[in-house]
Amino acid sequence: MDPALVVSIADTIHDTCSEDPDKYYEIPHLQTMDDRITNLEILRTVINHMLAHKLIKAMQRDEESVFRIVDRELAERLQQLSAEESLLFTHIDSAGTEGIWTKTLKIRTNLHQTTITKSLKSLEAKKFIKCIKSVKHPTRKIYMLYHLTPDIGLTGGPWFTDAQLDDEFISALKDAIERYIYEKSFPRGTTAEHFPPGWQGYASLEGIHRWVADKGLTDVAMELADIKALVDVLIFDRRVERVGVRGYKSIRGTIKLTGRGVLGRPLEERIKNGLTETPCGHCPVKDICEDDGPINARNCIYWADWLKQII
Amino acid sequence: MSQKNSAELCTLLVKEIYGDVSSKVTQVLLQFGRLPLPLIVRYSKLPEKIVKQTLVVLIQQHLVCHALQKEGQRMVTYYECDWLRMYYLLESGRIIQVTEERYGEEGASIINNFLQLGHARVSDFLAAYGTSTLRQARVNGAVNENLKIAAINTLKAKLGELYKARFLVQVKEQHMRPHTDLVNDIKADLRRQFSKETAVESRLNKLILEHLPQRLRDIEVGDVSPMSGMKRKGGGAPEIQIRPIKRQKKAADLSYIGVGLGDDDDEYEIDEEIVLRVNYDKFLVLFRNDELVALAKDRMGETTSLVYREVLKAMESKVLKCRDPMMELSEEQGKKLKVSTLELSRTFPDSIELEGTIADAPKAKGLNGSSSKSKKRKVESDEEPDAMDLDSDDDDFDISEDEDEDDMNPKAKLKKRRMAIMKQHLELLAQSSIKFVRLESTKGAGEWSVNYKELMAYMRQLEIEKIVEERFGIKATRLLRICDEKGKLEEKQLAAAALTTDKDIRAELGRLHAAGHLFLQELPRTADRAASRTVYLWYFDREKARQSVLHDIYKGMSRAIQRIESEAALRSTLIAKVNRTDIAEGEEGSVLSTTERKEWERWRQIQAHMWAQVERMDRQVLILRDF
Repeated sequence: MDPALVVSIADTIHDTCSEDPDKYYEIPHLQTMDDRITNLEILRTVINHMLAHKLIKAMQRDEESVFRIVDRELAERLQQLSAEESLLFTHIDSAGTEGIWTKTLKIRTNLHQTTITKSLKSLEAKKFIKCIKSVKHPTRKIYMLYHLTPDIGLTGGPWFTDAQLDDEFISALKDAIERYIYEKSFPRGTTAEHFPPGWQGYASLEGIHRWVADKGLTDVAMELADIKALVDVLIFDRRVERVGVRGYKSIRGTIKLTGRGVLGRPLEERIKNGLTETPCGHCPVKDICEDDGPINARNCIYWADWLKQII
Repeated sequence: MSQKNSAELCTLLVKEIYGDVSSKVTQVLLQFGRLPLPLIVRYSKLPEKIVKQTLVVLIQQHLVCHALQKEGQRMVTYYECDWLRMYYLLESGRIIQVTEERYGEEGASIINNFLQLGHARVSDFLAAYGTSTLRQARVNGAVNENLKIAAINTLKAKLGELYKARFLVQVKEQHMRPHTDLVNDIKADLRRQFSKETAVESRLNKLILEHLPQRLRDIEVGDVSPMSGMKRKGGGAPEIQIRPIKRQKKAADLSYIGVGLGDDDDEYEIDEEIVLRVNYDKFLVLFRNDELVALAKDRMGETTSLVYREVLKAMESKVLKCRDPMMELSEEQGKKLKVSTLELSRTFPDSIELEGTIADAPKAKGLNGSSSKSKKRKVESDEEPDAMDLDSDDDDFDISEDEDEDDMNPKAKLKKRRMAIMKQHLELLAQSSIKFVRLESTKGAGEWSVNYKELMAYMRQLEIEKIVEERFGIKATRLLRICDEKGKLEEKQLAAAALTTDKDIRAELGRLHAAGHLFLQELPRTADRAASRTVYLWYFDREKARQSVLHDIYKGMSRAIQRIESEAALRSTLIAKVNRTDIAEGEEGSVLSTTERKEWERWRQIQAHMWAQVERMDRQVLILRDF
């Protein structure tokens, strides 16, 4: 077959497919793209040509071969890669947004470690791929195509900044949400202590979500589930309780809004109890404290301190 | 020995009140369990005569039970401690205080005497008391025969009241027997009773086990019929009449403070032949109510807690004891203890200001704005408990009397308004995440029940959490709560729920584990049980946590009491000086030097503070153990 003809057909197919670059093309579909493809033999030669020049990617879908178009510019660059680099690229590409671990790459490609390291380095330098960190496996080297954003499973969702849990961000947002809930929990400007039963004006999950989005408290997009996780923590901390079907309400006495919106937390008051106020509640040697033992109530230094403190 | 701490505490309490000899005997009994006299003598190294005398005192106080058992040819008496009773010695102060609030000084002094006597026959008690009041009268000057009679009559009436309200209960022979013997007796009795019905051993056992709780409870609670232990004035035992009993019941339903003797007060009086003792179970019910009201106050604010207090008061007379298995059983069968809004509003004290305690809903209509149509709608919506009412001011109760609102006089109107607000408070209590009350039906503008079992489980959990939070901080407590709510969890799941990393919580988990608050479940994935192939699940066991905390508290209480003893020993000369009998009360100051006086003041403060601490721990014990 005439190479020029092949190139020409390949160009037509590439142009046609480029109109919808994200689509997967099957063989019968490709066949209809150019009148000159009279039999499958011609198509096969053309596809082989295109694959050799990285103009298309071959993929599998339900045991059937499908193809995807590759940008000409990229194809150009890809062609300059060595065989190993090209192989690695294919594997990294197929891993998509989840990335691929170097160890997996080694198993799949069956290449030598040094080759892999060298090739990955070169690919990374040419900005074909990038190395990312995973929350689940912080020590692993995971690669992914340069232009992709990592999957949520890798980044850990909105709570993570650079694969590190952002404690400060979480507690700041939690405090903000708690205050939002609190402001809707109790009537203000009256002597009344409560809203009437069945009150619908308590903060709801959707309301909090909307408020967080409107206020622009975060750059990261928050899902409803993320907000729920935060509110759940507030519930676990016994600072917020559920009311009715959807409402959330601050538990009385957990917050005092002092001055202009400063969170006063009279929590210490709430957890006072007899046991832990006596020295025995905190005693580090309570397990060996016996009436006739070396440590006992008579020679206890903690009781002595306690008595000194209270009187 | 898991009971070591409680045994130590009980011995200390007995020592505090009854002295060294009694405490030695109880210590032996607590340490060795059930013992016959010769063994008590041997272990305690005390003379037999003294041991015998001590046992008599302890039995009189219900601190020791005894059982006669046939061994070979002869009968042997075994003695056993009732450690809970010893613990309740601590409760005396509170019991007297509560009685004084309800029955005045006289009631308090009756209870005080019974606490000191253990148990006493009514006639003996009256006789002894009579002479003591007589003596008092003599001290005050002239002897007045009438005063004595009057005193005895009012005393008898007070006794009757206390007995009716079950603050005093009859003592039966069974109450002197150890629990195990009692259970064995009942089992033997039931076996005799049912052996005619079935010969199959397994079925017989089943029948016995089925009837055992009821019989045990009958003995524990005693006769609860309204006329038991009462007799007609100047006559024999009460004739059972339908009318008075019915009235009695009705009266008991309505009145909750004191007793519902009503008109029959004059006709019946307490039977002088019965033997009485203080009923700790009933007082515990009162203490439990106090705790519940305190919790409501903390969560719902003052006014709502006052409404709640009235609810609990209304039920009080029918709650015989905390953790009553029979009550739980009848609740399962649908016979719940209920009180309606209407009933509550009748007895609700006017002194409690309700107006303005609940904010108006924006959609609220005027007070008189409710048309018959909306009223009808309300009644319908009220039929489903979940349907919450949005309109606050609208009165949404439907009383059987057909009152036209315009015709109502201002007083009735006010009453109706108060009832509407009260109902809102009740609804708030029901709506809270702690279900303080539950709506049962719409009768009488809403009938409410209280699920004590769930509430107390919640309260116990709160108490444990408080201790954990003080000891380990908020993060650890959060983990504990997550485990409690979600069950067994892996480290990673826990971290995700707490919005932290597993690295952060590992240390906390380790500390909680070491303290016995959290436990680990290993789940090997392979047969070799390799650690790397094992799943580790964290979990929280309420019962275990409760026990371990309880024993910590017992130990803390013991140490506090021991410390008081040692502080007293340090100041023995001073104390002896102050307690000199030749110095009149209030004159101590004159014999003390300035430094001594200062030291005396300090010692009194130490005592006050430390006993206060013991009392606070006692509160926790009651919540964790008895309520």
